[in-house]
Amino acid sequence: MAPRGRPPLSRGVLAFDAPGWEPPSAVVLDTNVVADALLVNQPEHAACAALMRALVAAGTSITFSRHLEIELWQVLFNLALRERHPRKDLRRVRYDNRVRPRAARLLREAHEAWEQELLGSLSWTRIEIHEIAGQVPGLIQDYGLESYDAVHAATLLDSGITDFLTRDGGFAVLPSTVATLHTTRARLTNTRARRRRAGY
Amino acid sequence: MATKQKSSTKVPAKRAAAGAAKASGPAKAAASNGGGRVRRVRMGRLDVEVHEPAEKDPKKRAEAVKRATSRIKSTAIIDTIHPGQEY
Repeated sequence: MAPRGRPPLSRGVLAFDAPGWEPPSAVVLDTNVVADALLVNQPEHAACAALMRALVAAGTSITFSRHLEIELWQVLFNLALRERHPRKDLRRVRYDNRVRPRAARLLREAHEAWEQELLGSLSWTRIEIHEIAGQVPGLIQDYGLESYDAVHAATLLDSGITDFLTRDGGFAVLPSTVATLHTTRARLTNTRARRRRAGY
Repeated sequence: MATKQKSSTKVPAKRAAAGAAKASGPAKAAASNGGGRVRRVRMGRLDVEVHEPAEKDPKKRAEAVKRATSRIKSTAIIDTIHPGQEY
């Protein structure tokens, strides 16, 4: 059946798992895209892993904040906690020492996968937090971003790159003139709606 | 994105590994990148190092990405969007 009416406005939000999507020449990466690419059982793993393959094949240059790596280690520690305590509030089991050996193995595996295999295959730039920290208070004030999201946003703005790969619709508060968001198809409608509500 | 190349260096992987300890400046950066080229460029407001892929063969690069994205298996599913908010 042919689609009815005019196509929806893109509002600077695209889906990287949509047919016909082509990787830009330079992008900024968010943690959640890397985490889902590395973790096989995550719901959006297939889309994020295919994205990594596309970036490598296209020779895309990736830029990321040092904060991405810090958040990635946090994700892996959380994963070890969740494996041992599937139904408990993680705040209450965070200091369970039995988790540590599994967490260490996960961190080691992820370190090799990220540093040696992914970064060894891509053209990349790591931005240290102190280089962009001056922008963070303004981003928190202007857009209501959380501190860690503001670090990624500052990396995007200061690098002069406009393409941002993220699964977090919260970045829709950034104007489309400075941030073209690339997300998954499943998140496209909501992210565009958030951008419309933000007035762009 | 406007980038202006300021300096560059290319160190063979073997020499990079051997000389990593005594290298300095761009040579040290290349050594830490597994022998891949490291360029110092102006990117927006930042002065940054661009690391070229250490692996030159596109086929081996594709294999490395496949390995990276298939090695960490877990029975659990977690929130990867807000990792700090699990607490």
